[in-house]
Amino acid sequence: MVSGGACMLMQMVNPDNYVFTVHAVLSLLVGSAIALLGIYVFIRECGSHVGVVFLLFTLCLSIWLAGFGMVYASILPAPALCWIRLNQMSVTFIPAAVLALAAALVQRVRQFRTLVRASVVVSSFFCAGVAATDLHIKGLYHYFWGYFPRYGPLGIIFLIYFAGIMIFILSLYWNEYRKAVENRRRKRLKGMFTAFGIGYLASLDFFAAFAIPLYPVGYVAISFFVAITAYVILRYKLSDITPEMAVGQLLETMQGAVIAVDLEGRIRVMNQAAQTMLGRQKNEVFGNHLTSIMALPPELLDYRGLREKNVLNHEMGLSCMDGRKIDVNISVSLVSDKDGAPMGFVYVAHDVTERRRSEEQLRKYSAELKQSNEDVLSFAYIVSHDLRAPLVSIKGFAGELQRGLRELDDLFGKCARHLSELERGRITAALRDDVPEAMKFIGSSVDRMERLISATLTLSRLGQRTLKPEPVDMKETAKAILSSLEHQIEQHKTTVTIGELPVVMADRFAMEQILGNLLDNALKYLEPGRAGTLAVTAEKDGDETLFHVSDNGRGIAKDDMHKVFELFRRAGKQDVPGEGMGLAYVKTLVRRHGGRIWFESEPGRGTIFSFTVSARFDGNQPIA
Amino acid sequence: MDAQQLVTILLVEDDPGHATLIEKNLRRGGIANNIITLDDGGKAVDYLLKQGDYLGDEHPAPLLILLDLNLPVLDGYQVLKIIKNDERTKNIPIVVLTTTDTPQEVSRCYELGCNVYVTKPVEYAQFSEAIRTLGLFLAIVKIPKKE
Repeated sequence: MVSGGACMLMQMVNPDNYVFTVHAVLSLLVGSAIALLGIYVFIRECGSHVGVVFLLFTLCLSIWLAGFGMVYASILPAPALCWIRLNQMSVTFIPAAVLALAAALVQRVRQFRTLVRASVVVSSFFCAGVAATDLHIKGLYHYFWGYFPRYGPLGIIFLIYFAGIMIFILSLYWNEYRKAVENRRRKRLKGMFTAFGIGYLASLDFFAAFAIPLYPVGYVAISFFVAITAYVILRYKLSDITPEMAVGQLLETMQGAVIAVDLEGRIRVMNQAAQTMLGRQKNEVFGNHLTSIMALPPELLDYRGLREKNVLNHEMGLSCMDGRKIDVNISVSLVSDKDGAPMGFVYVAHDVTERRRSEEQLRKYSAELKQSNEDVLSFAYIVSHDLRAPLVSIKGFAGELQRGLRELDDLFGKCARHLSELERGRITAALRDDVPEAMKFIGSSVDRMERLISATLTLSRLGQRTLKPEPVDMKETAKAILSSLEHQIEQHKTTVTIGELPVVMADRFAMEQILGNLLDNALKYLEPGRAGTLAVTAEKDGDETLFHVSDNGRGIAKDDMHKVFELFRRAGKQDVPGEGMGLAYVKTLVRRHGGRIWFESEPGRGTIFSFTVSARFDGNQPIA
Repeated sequence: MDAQQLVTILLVEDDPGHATLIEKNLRRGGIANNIITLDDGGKAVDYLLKQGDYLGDEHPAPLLILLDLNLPVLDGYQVLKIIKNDERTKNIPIVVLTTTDTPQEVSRCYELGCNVYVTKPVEYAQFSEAIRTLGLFLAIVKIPKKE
């Protein structure tokens, strides 16, 4: 074989050495058909990965079958052996090709890449064995259908390797099929499993390679196998998304309306979305000027200007053919050919009617909310003012009464001796007990009312106050507050920890009020008789800074938790003076900074108040 | 005391309780001046400009006005504006007496030309003190008038 290379080639190409029997022709035909199918799928799949793998796979099969066609047709053993070596070299690559195809079909190419490469290496080894040694192909048999290879020891090893790969692939399909939930995938995998099952029958052909005269009908099974695989590929679109495909398919399926015009503004391309948006079919407007279907402002039609600069996000109203009025966002850009010469312009339009409408709605709600917020604040302001006026009178006249009472008391002292014991007793009771007691209650109620009103007034002022964002060093702020609370801290033997607090952009006064109230509260509600601990810490959380003020105080009972931030509501034992205003202030201020405030508490163990300060605070009041 | 009696106090206050308290406390503060009380802003303007019901009346002079801000017909701000914009009345000293102590409102009153702004305190003692201070103020303001 090595010695007479040229002579051998002469023999191989000499038509006199061949007789085309029915066996030979069948094999040749099926081989060619499979090659054609591979090429067809490759073209249809626009060169996708699965298309390429399928093509290589079909080429292996095709050389194998067509090669056998030539073997069967050979009259002489020498060219037959050459053809056998050729076709068996191709066979050695079938396991690798089948594996690559299976990986592509179950869409796990990446995962099986190493395995596929390894199998290519192994196949190359066997291929070399076929080409250069007699270990794989030991010789020839001659059966009634023609010559057939006689497998040697390496051939047996190859068959074991082949069988191993086939079993692996079958189990892969089977497992994938069982795991698959999506209907199309299940169908596809079932198809592939069946195809492989049938294709596997072709292995019966190898019996003849071991002197068992079994007529090789493998090509029938292979035909089915290849046909089913091709169907699966084409039917279930296993193709990767390639740029070529994107141009056609994505253009049609994308939501944005795309119209491409040439340099004169005549319509050349119009996708499905554009047709739907405008209510026009592309074939009826093709070649017409763009202005005939869309009323566009001059800047979108200034082709000279558009060559210089693209138009982006131009929003405009558009009247459709069916009378609908929609809002669209249009971008126009220049399209150039490979050499950079301008070819035309692409208009991309998005229907933003819904978005516009919801934006409008949101603006309206926001304005309404702002208005009602202002109403509440000015209401609180007016009420607290007008409520104060009668209080001035009540308190003032109570003072007048007091004055009158003193006068009476004075006179009573002078004329008491003229009265009977009983009368003196009655007057004394009224003058020195009942009336002063009533006066005392009037006085304390007015005081309380006055405090509540000024608290409400303060809150409404806080709500209306303009916040001025500036860098506030929270650590310094906390230190200053704590030093003003020194007395209380010592009184409760409190250990205070201040963590690393950042500088935040916020209103200084508001931050002082927030920290001040939280720290004051924490100190006020420490458990008497237990050494207090108090900590102020902070952490960064995305756009926000999170502050925590924690104590080991008396905590807040579950039932009281909802009261904590409410105006004039105080939780727990009322043994510490306060109006129930502090946390309502704090909440208002935190919210006006666009932050949130909350707490976690365990009665008897302590409370952690947490609030956020947004890094984006710019002084504009969010909707509180 | 003689000097103080030259000034007539015009008290513009719609709340009779407040009017009474103010008067009582002024008296108690040793102020014996004549006090005229009007209960709405419209009347105050008519009185000062001698128009409407007060057309052709002859009024005592010099005057000092104690003005509340929350008034019917014309409120305190409107009264201030009218009085301070009229040649005949613009020199009359005005003391604004009100429950409001918002900085914006205080400064608004000063901008309109009020001479002193006093917040009506609820505390009886404070109130008396404020009125007494006012008494001292009255004694001071009328001195240039006398000269």
